[in-house]
Amino acid sequence: MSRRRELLALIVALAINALAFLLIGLGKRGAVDIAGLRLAVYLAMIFVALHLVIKWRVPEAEQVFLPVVALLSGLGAAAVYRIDPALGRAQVVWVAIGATAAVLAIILIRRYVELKRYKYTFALAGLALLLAPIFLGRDHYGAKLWLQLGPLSFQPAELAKVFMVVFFAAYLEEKRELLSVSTKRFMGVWIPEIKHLGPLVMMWVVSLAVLVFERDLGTSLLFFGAFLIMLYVATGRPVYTLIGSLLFLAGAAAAYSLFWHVKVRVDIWLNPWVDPKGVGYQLIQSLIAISSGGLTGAGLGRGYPDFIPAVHTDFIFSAIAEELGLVGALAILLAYIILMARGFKTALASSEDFGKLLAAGLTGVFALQAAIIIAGISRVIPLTGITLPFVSYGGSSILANFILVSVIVEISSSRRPA
Amino acid sequence: MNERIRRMTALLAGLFVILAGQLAYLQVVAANRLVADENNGRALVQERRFRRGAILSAEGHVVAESRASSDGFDRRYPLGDLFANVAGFSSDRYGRSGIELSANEYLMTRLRASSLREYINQLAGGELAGDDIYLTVSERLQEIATRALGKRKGAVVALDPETGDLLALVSYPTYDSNKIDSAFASLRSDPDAPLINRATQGLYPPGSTFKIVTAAAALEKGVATPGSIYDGPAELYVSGGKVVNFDSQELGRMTLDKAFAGSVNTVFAKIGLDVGDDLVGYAQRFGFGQALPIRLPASTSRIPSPGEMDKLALAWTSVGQAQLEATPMQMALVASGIANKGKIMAPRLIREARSPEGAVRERFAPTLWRQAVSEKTAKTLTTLMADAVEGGTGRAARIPGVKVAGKTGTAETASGAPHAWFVGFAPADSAKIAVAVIVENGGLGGKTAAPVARQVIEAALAK
Repeated sequence: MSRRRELLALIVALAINALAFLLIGLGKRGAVDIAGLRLAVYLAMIFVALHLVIKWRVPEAEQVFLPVVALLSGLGAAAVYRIDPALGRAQVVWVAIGATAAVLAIILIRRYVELKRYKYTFALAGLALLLAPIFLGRDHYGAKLWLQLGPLSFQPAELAKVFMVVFFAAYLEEKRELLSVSTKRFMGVWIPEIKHLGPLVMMWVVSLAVLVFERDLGTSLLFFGAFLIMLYVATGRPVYTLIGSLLFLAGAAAAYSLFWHVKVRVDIWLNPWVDPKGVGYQLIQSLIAISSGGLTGAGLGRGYPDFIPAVHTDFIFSAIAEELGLVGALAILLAYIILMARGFKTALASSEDFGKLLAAGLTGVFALQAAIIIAGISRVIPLTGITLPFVSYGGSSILANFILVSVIVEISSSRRPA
Repeated sequence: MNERIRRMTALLAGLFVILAGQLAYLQVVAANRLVADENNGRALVQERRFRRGAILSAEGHVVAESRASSDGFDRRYPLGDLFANVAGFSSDRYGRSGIELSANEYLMTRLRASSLREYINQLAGGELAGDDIYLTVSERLQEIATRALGKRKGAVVALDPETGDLLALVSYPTYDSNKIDSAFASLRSDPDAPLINRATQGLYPPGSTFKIVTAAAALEKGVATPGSIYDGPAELYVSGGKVVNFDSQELGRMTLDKAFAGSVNTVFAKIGLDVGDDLVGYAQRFGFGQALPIRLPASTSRIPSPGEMDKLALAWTSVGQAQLEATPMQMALVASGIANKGKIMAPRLIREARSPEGAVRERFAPTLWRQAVSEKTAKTLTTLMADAVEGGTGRAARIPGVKVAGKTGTAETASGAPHAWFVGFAPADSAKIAVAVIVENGGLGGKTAAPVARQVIEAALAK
């Protein structure tokens, strides 16, 4: 395959990125910012190199992923650079590291089906990463989701989500026949054998542990949601989704009444204006920032992101919505929808179950993460501290999402039976 | 499995559609309400990042300007307290006053490029700067008037009768606009009210300066001429009381022009009674009871309505006492009307607004405020006022080689020494300047206020 479409779309995405860096310099200081444009050039070099690696190793792969990821990473790096140039430079370094990881993943994973063999390794590694902060983590914005490794702080949940999805895909592929068979009726619906509910209960416990001990509503919701998506895709039994949702709601309701940090989050969501200068401050400032953007935005570099605490990570979308307006915000949403649609298309096109489950799971967790954080900062659901994939500042997030997408790319390149 | 993957795609796409709906709600439907939320700090920061236009004196000297600092622009007032009652202040904490407030729309104007070059500059994200305001007030005259008044509570108003241009506008005590943030609390509680602009907001009994209005009313109504003869008793008995002369002097028979020059209360009380209730209407033609058309906070001068006054009150009102109250600005406008053939021009503070590049954005043309009296009456009154300076109570305002027209006032107050007034203009036959001076509790107008007026007039004509 020539991969001309990918290259052409990539060039458009990279041009948009360069334009964003140019406009930020003009909007902020009224001058062309050479340092910013240099970052745009570095980004272009990174993604063109990635394009060449894909062309070399997986020439049959889906062509849409790379340009859209380039667009999101570039706009993200530009938005972070606009808030804090030093962090913007660091973000470009992280994109380079993420791209390197993607190259390694594409080169090392000859056949993605081989991942199946290591499913328990992934499960253990995933659980360890997910639960490590309970014992080793440090508090950050009231949530315990960071690990400190020497000078580097690391958000293990980001990588854990990829590992856990690989495990679920392998596990569910193996057990899906068993799980699909119902032998008992309970209250008018067929339910599976209790022993097969083991994984469901285990994920429920893990999710609640994350919620309670790490005070991390977002990660908890993300993992359990992704698990339910995969369970449904694997078994085709809505009863799991139903039971799972009820379990999660029950757990969350218990957490709401038992733990103040969950209660505070929900109360802020219900009415942030009760304490506009205190706990409601961040969300109110986010809503005002989004509204200030209006239809067409304040213009890059001309908004006021500094009013929102943690704007460069969880709230990056609010800053973008202020400067690019509804038009720009919807464009970003559209980019996620395109990635999601192509990811599920990859799942559909995959010729065997593990590929379908893996592609659907990775796509699901990715799309769900984007939706949860955007819903949080725009007050559709209670705010949860997770990153916006490829856009928020943060090494763990960038790294994990590059690996995530490269696995989907890998699956899309081997549509015929492996 | 594929069917379920499709369903999942639709479900997650549905989530994104909900998000798109919420964004549309926040950015379009609820945008105005949220942007207006009191927790939105953008407006303040925006204004600090914006180079507010400068305010300049008639000579083009900087009265107020914005200087770049680390976190935006700071407002500076190089002339300190000299223009505080005109320019006012612009403070992040205490808001705005004076021209800073009333011309804010010009000082903050932007995105209204008047040339292609400016438009390109704005597109390229060039510095955002507001328009500059050019005042009519002259730094030189303002300084001379300030020095002439000295450290006495009061006010000086000087204007060009032909255009209404304010040439000097002084109020004492005043404040330094540079120090407003640190001094505001004590300024506000200061019993001498330095934040009040006495020239436009101070309401005082006009005393004998009001005799210009009473005389104008009598001449206009035709109940008197300059040669009309009156009795000047020490006391004039009116039903319910009496009007007395200054120092209770018995002055005998005299003409109206002599009574004007000597400021005889009993004669003007008689003239006021001859005019009757119509006095109120004539005063209104001079602007009493009308809001002043000026870009500064101003009080409306007050004359009681006919129904509010019995004969005694009318008699006292005719000599500028009783319930009568006037601002120094109002009395300056009375003088300027006489000086300008009966026409009172609206007081003008701003000559023009210019873009940062110097292009004129808007020119403020002189406008007629009201026709106070006929040209003939104005001419007659000019003669009366010139005589009052030449040989009457206003002799301290005489200037060699210049015919000055004026009227003194010594307004009785409820407590303390009377307020000293002088209103007038010069040269009498083609006036270039009209003034009003008040010195609170300054005693005799002819002794305290007239010399202040003389210095201002002299300086204005010397230039």
